Amino acid sequence: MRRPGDDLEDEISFHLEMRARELVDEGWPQEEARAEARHRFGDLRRIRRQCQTIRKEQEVHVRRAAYLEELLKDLAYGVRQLWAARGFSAVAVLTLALGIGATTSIFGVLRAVLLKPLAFENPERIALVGENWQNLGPVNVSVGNFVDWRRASSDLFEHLAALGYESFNLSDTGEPERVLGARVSHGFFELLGMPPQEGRWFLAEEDRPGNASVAILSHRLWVRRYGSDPGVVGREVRLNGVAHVVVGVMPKEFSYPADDQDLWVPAAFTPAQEAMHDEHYLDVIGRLRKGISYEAAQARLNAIGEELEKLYPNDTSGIKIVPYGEWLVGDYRTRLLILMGAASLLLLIACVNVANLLLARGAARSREMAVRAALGARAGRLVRQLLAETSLLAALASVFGTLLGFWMTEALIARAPDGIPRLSETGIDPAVLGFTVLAALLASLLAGLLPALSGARAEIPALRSEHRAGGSRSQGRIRYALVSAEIALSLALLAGAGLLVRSALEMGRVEPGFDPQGVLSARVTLPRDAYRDAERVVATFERIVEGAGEIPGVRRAAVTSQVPMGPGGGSNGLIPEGKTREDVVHSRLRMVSADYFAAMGIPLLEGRLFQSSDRRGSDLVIVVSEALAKTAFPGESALGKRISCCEGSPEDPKWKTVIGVVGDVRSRGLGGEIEPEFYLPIAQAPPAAWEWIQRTLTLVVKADSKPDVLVSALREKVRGVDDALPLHGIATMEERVFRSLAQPRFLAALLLVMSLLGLALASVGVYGVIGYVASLRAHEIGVRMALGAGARDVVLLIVRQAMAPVGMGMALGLALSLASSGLLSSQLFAIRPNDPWTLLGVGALLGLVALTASYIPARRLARVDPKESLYRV
Amino acid sequence: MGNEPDNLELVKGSLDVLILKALSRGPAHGYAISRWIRLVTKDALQVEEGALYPALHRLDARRLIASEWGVSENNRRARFYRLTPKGAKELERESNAWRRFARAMGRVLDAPEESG
Repeated sequence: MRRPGDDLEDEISFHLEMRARELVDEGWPQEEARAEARHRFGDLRRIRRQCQTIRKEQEVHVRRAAYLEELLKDLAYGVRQLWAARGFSAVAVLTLALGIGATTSIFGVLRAVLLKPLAFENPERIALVGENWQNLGPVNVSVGNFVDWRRASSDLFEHLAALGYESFNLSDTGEPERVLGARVSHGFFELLGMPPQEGRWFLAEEDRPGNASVAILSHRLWVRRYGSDPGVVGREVRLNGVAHVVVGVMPKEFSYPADDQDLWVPAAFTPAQEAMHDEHYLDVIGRLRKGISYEAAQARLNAIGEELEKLYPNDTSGIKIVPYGEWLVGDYRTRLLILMGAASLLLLIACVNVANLLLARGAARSREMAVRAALGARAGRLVRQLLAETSLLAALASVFGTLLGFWMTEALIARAPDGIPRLSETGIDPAVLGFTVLAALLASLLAGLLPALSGARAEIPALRSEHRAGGSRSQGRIRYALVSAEIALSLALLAGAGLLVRSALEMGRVEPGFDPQGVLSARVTLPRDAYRDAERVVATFERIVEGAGEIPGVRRAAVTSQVPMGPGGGSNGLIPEGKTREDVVHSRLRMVSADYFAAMGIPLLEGRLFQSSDRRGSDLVIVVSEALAKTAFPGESALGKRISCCEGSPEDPKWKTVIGVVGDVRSRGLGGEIEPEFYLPIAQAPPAAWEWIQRTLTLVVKADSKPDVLVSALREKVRGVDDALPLHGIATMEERVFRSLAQPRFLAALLLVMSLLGLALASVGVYGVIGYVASLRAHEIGVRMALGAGARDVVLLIVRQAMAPVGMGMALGLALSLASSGLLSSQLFAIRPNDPWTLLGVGALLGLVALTASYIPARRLARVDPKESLYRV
Repeated sequence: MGNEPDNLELVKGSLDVLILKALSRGPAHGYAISRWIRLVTKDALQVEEGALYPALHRLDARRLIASEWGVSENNRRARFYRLTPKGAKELERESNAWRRFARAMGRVLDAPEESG
């Protein structure tokens, strides 16, 4: 063997020899001529090195060109092959595209919700700080606590700021409208760190009572109401009747915590507000100073909490800090991971299916491969050829998959229930496309490698004409393994879907504790300046309720400070008589008018309900829920007991007597826990309470008429009381109940769709493999039938053989679904993740489908005349 | 390297043109090319003879010349180089450039000295 370097040596020595000869001819002596030739040649080593470098570079270049050329040939050949088998290609491409599309769209959502960093500066240092009431924290904070925390923790936070929601009557030259906004303390915008698009943030001195008549608009409101006019900065608008100057407009990306607010004004807490420690309604966020960890911050806040507890012994909740980003995503992390897992399973099933298809085709092409191998094609080359074909399939599949993904994403967003943070940011961006390409590549490798390796192993015997078309025993084993894999993946997918569907059904069966049928709810807010007097507020709401009751078709009308599964509301600490502050019971407060229980269909269990005689001045009364009665007065009747809450002091506890016990209501939705609740008549509401709820009550009207007719009649009645009062937050109670189920139902429905697709793919796969393996045995079966075996025996034989890999797959799938139960368990309601009935059910379903998928080809084979299969080769 | 005062240092890139020119007369092996250059230039161009080979290989890589193994006039195995059509075009372009350069230099150097 000559090495490439030898050529160079030959060339050089030839030169030296010829040169020496020339010198000898000129008369040099032999020895000196040689030396002179070498001398004139120059530095031999350097020249050699230069030549070798040039040579090497060129070789790389040539090899690359040759490789590219081969690859192009492979691809061109692949295109011809795929075109020749159009039906096969279409099925394979669509199968892969389905899996790729599903994973792409879920990944798109995952990226927007979980992975993309928040649009704020250094978002990891933004923290949500809250009271840690009953370790549920962080929950909303009272103004008094916020002010104390801010004072005590300036070493921890660059800024600590509070936000309290408020809705505003916005009027300027145009039509007045109701917008949701918030009061924010100074530092709120600074700590989020997103500069305004127009104008400026609030100044520190604007966060003081009397100096706070400024407002910042959301981008959305700016576009919608002011046509993106930058001149709006400096303009005067009236908010709840008070003049405010617009000082800024926030950019489109600004959203805290959701993009539901359109307007911000300074909080400007009054000294009276700053002294309040009992009413908890603020969101508090902070920007941690550089280098302070969440653990260190939590430890420091614990100490601050203990200090404050000495000052305010009735507030023992403590302080909790969490990264804002984590809190924002909350439960959606798990839900999205479940969806991503399901989509990946679907993609895997699709891969296995295509691998199967390719195997079947590989078997049909074993002759072609053997011919090419016999003609000198290396095995590596054949593998590459097959992989090139698969990559083409994958490329096509990723194109279709991306299109499918686009469509699925749109459908997903359109149908998604409200409240998924940052869902609107979902889109197909470079990262998502990159993911698609990666998924397609992986899929093509997974689907293509196995068949390619087994295809390239095709040997010369395949050329002999008596060799049966089709694969070998080892290929049969590979196919059985694929069947097992498919069954295992589908079982895991089906089990997950089954559990979530059952859980959603269970949740739907839960009694809400009220009768939502025919009940409409709508919020009314009285502007602060016109309604400073509590008596006037009560009288106005009573007139509204009275007016609503007069509408034809209305059976009952009432108001409440919070409707179950609706916005607003708060909780208060209750102290039963004879107990100390240690035994405070936190409970949800509702201020209602007398007919509330009747309108909502909440049953009275003991005692009586409110009457029109329960007014300020008469004995203070309270109605408690069953859960509160049991918590506050265990083992005895609550009737006649006295409770202090919401107002008063240890010296003057303002005792309220329990006059009735009513049924429990699931205020947080059907999947939520039952909480202790209590009711006060609006006529006896503590005057300060109107401030807590910003003079906003929800009208609940039970009627026989249609909601839209009812809404316009209600609007008219409310306007009849005060024509500046709009209705907002309109929804029927049935809608609210439905909405509380929307999230789990949506998750269950998505998983169900994916698992049914998976099941369909898997059954096609099983059908194909069993049909193929059975056909391999056609000859043997012909012999058996000729010897007297009946069609029944043949079917049994084949089906029994098919059930072995199916059973194996079921066992694997069971293990897989048990292993992933941890992820699911937090999403399940009233059902355990290893619920045997669900697992048994989906197992039976899958078994039935697999049985059918193998019975059909078995039956077909058994019908064939033995003579025919005996002669067939 | 020689030190004879009337010998010229080889200008960078000129060796390539010399090789192409040598091969324009027909295929030749490395030694023949080097010999032809020496004869034609009457040894005026001082060149390290071995430097020819990296230049040959570079031209080969650029597809300006092609090579194949053959048998020399004295029956030795030798590598023969020949000009490719691409090389012929390159030679034409390069020799024109060199001629223009030489003419321009000549005009500058032969220009009559002006007084004032």
